[in-house]
Amino acid sequence: MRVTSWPEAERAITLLLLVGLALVPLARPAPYLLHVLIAMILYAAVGQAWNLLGGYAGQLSIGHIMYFGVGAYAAGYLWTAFGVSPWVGILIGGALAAFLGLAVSLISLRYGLRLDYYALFTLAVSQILRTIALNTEAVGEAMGIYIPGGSHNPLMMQFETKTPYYFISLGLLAAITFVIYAIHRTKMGAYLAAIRENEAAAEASGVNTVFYRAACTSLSAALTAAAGAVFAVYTTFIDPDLVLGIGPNFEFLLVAIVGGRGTLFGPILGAVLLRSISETSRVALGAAPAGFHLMVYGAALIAVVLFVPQGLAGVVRAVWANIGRRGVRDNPQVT
Amino acid sequence: MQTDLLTFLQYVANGIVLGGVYGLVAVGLTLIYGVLKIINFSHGELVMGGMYVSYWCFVLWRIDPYVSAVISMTLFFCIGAVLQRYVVEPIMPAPQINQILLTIGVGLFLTNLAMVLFSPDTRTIHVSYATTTISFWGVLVSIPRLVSFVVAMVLSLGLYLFLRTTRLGKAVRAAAQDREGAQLVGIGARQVFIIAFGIGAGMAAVAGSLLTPFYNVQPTAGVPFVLTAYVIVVLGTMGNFLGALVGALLIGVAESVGSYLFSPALRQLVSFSIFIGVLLFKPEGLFGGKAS
Repeated sequence: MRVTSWPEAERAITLLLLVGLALVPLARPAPYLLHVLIAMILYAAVGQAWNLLGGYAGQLSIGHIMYFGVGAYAAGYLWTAFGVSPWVGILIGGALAAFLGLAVSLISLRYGLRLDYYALFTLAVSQILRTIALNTEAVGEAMGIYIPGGSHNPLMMQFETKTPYYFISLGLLAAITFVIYAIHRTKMGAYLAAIRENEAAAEASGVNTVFYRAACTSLSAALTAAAGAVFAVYTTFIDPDLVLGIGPNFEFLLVAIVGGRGTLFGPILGAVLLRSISETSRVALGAAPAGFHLMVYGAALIAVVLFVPQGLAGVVRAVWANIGRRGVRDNPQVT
Repeated sequence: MQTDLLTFLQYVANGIVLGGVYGLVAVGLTLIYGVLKIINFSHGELVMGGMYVSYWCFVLWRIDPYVSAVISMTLFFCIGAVLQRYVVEPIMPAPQINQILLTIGVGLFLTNLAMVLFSPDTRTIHVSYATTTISFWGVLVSIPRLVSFVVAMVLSLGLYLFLRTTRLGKAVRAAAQDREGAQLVGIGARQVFIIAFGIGAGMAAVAGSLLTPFYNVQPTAGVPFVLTAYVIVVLGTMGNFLGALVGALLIGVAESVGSYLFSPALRQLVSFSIFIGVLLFKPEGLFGGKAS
């Protein structure tokens, strides 16, 4: 039997996961299950968008929810205030988030904020945005924005059933995954890996670290915002804690980290695992212990960092290397 | 005297007394950073832990929060030491990104452990002296807040003296300055790390206890304090002990005055703006270059 290389296997597993998800609606799942899956796919999409910046480029953007919030608020506000279609809202939200990402990356580059300082900076910016949203009347302050839904109007991203939202979310996840895949194959992918492994060395070898870090941040921000916009329209309700809070912020990050940062299917796997945990615990334990699934997430994060820093995808890869007896040699590992 | 000025001074006084408690949170954070070079993203959860210790001591046994602060400190010194020994130590050689993620995981776990154990409900204790005040030339200061401020200051200065004068304290500082050099002269870096994390955690928990007489207890109660504490330690230079204290008082006053000038809802915006400003224009902090 011919044993394929890891990048080929990675691509195949990713494709398999996406196709598998695309086939789910054929089984006519109950609306509740479909809802759970849509949430899962949106988490995977945000995790994947973070993965581009946090995994492939190694930038610890731990306040990443700011881009999600910008997308969600842009789509929600533009629609409720001006009747702008969410399809346009996605683009505007994406553009705004890209601009924010550009500002965050240029500021941090200009002032040499790296690693922990960069992490703190992004966290602070996200909480500033949350405070601003909490105190801005136009976006409903703490009440947030209620987006009327339920009618049927594809031009306004309005559908009576959940299935179209399922495919919109899945399409977004597939698109983000493809963007990462495409970037990874180009020179930019190699540059980002160089920046991740050793920024100074990358710079010394002639990589335009400023350009690539800024480009990567903007792109990741725009993709995250798109997921935020879809989230807003699908759930029909957003508020500062929901789309800019610290809690959901870490949930998004965890999807990518537990799944395996710097791998193509890690965030998808992470979302499947973590959302399954949270849904199972909710069904098994009822609504009473509010933070149970997050407690498990915290334990999972500790366990992953201590024992398998490459995440679930790293485990899959090790198993793969064992089966193929080819060892791991094609990709530098993320540590 | 004009009432405007008096109100303003009132806010300044509130800022100073709150700054004292901020200081206690911040010195723990800066000590851990100075020695271990790790930003402890779970620091706020340790503050929250101290709050719950004092809350339950009061509810179950009627122990005054200022007494149970000692229990908090001891308990969380041990928890911090165990965390360092069994959770942080194994990944000390790993890249910084892993350490950051690890402490985020610890924080997430602790917050939600509190959610599960104690529910997300906001809890308050009613001590008899909760609303007593003392007047300084017309400026009213709440007595529990003042006591917390004084205790926080005494503890911080005590810790400072410990680091300056005792053998163990000097070992901690030596390990902070030069890990390998300290090991060469026979300082067990491992033990020092464990002690440093323990002290940092203990200080955070005491701060939590000191807050309970006038602050709501809930699983996420530590978050605003630790976000402010990051601002403070960056302002006062990461790893600089006295810098953290000075920074704490400055931020306490800035937040309080900010909420007077703008609106109470915007107080965090004030400290975050200072934070961004410091990160951008003086990332080494006010006391950059000087070791504690």
